[in-house]
Amino acid sequence: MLSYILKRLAIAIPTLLVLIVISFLLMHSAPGGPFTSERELPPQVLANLNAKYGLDDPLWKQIGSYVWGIVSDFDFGPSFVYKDRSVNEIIAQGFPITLTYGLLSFAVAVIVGVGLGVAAAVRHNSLLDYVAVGVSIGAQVLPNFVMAPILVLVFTLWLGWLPGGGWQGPEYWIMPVIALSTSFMASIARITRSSMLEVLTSNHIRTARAKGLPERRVILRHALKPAMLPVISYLGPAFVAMITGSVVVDIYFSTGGIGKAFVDSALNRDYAVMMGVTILVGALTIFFNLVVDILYGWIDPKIRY
Amino acid sequence: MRDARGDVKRPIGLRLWLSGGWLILLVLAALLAPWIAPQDPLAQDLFTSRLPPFWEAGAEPGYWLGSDSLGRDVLSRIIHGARLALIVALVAGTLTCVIGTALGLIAGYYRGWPDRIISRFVDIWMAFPPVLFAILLIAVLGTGLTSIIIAIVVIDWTRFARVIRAEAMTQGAMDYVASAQVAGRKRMGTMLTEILPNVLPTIIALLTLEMGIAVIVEAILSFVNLSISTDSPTWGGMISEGRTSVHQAWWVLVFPLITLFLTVLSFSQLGEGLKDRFDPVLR
Repeated sequence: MLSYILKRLAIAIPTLLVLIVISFLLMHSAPGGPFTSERELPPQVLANLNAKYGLDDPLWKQIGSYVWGIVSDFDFGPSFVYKDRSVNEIIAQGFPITLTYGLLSFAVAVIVGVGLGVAAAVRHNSLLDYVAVGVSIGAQVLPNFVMAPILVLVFTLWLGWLPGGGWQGPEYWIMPVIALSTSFMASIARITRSSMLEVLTSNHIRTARAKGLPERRVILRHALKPAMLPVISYLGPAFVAMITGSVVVDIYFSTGGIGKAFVDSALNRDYAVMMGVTILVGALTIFFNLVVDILYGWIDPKIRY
Repeated sequence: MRDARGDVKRPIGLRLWLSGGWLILLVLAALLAPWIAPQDPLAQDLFTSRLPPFWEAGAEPGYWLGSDSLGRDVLSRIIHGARLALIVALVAGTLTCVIGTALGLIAGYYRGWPDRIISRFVDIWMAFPPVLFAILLIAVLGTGLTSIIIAIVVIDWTRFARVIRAEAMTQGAMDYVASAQVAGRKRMGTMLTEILPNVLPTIIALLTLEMGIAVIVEAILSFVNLSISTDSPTWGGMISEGRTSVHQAWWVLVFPLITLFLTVLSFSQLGEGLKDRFDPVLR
C-alpha cells in the first residue's frame, strides 16, 4: 500500500510541474503584456516595470523563479493589475468561501445521492424508484448555470424566503450549495442505484440473506461497500466541478469566492491571478484524485498493491 | 417468462422523438432566423422596453415573449442566439469527437508506446480544471468564435479519448479482430474497418452529450462576457442581462433559460436514446 502511494506521488509531482509550466507558457504567449493600456507608457517606465516584475529575464529563468516561489514559499507573486496586492492575498480572500460551499455541496451531493440511489435500488420498481429515476434524469441536466437563476427566481423573488446574494451567514449558503450539488447528486444517485441493483443479485448477498441476516444489515454492511466502487471513481471529477462551479455561483449569488476573482482577472488580463488560481485548483485536483485512488484500493478487495 | 425488451423499447421511442423534434425545430429556427424572427434582434426602441409576454396585460403584438430593457424582442433574440449555440455545438462537438476518438482508438488498439504517450497526456490533462482552463484560453487567445471552439476542444477531448481507448482495448482483444489479422489485414485497416464500427454507438452517444456540454460552456462564456462581441445575441448573454433586470422583467431571464435547458436536455436524451437503440443487447 505504502509503495503504491509513493508511486502515485511520483506521478503526481511531475504532473503538477507540467501544469505550472503549461500555464506559464500560455500566459507568456498572450498578446499584450500586463502593462499594455490605452495610455502609451514611456519606454523607460515600461523597462522599469518589466525589470521590477522580472519580465526582462530569459524565459527559463522566469519559469524557474516562478516555480521556486511556489515550491519554497507558496508564493504566486504579485498581481499585475492591483499594484498593492499579491496573488496570495486575492486567493486568500476568495478561496475559503469557495472551499466552504464547494465542500458543503460535495457532502450534500454524496449523502443525498447515495441515499436516494440505495433507497431506489432496495425498492426496485416501486413508486419511490420511479420518482427517483425520473428526478435524477431531469436533475442531471440542471448544471449550476441553469439551477442558479431558477433558485433565485423561486426562493428570492417569488417566495421571498432566502437572500438573493451575499455571504454573511448560513442562510446565504443554501442556494449556492443547491445550485452546485443538484446535477452531481442526480448522477451519483443513478450510479449508486444501478451498481446497487447489480450487487443485490450477487452471490454473497444471497448467502448473507440465506444465513438469516436482517435485511438492514445485508444492505448496509454487505451490499453498500462493493456498490460504492463506481461512485468513488466519479468523486474526483465531481469535486473539481464543485470548485470550478464557483465561476457561475459567485456571479449569480455575489458570494465573493475565487470564481469572481478569476473572471475579473480574465477580463482585466491579470495573468498572474489567473495562473495562480489555475495552478491551485489543479493541485487540488491532483491531490483529490490521489485520495480517491487510494480510497478505491482500500475498499476494493480485488486490488492489492 | 415475459420478454423484457418490449418494456424498454417504448420510452426510448418517445424520448428520441421529443428530443429530436426540439433539436430539429432549433436547427430550422437557426437556419431561417432572418425570415422567421418577428423583429430585428438588435433593434432598440425605448418605447417598447420591458413589454411583458403575450398573455399578460400590456403586451404588444409582435413581441410574443416580451422585450428587454432596451426594447429588443426576446423571441427574436432567442431565435438568432440559436445560431451561435448550434454552430458551437456542431463544430466544437465534432472536432472534439474526431480528435478524441482518433487518439483513443490509436492508444487502445496499438497499445505500446503510442498508448503510453497518449495516456500520460490524458492524465496530465485531467489536472486542468475544465471551466477555468477554458476561460484562461479565451483570455490568451482573445474572444471570438474560433477561440470558443478551440477552448472547448482543448478541455474536452480527453472525455472521448478515455472512453474510446477503453472500448478499443476490449474490442481489440476479441476473436473477430484476431481473425481479421489472420486474414492478412493491415493493422490500420483493422482499426478503421473492424474496431471503429463496433465503438460507433459509444461515439454517437458521447458526441450528442458533448454537443450539450458545448452549448453550456458557450453559454457560461457568454454569461461572463468572454464569448463573442456583444452585438450578436447569445443565450448566455441574454441570461446575464436578464439577471440584472429580473425584478422588473422576469421574462428576459426565464425564456432564454428554458430554451437552454430544453436544448441541453434534448442533446443528452438523444444520446441516451441512440445508445440504447444501437445497443445490440437491447435491440
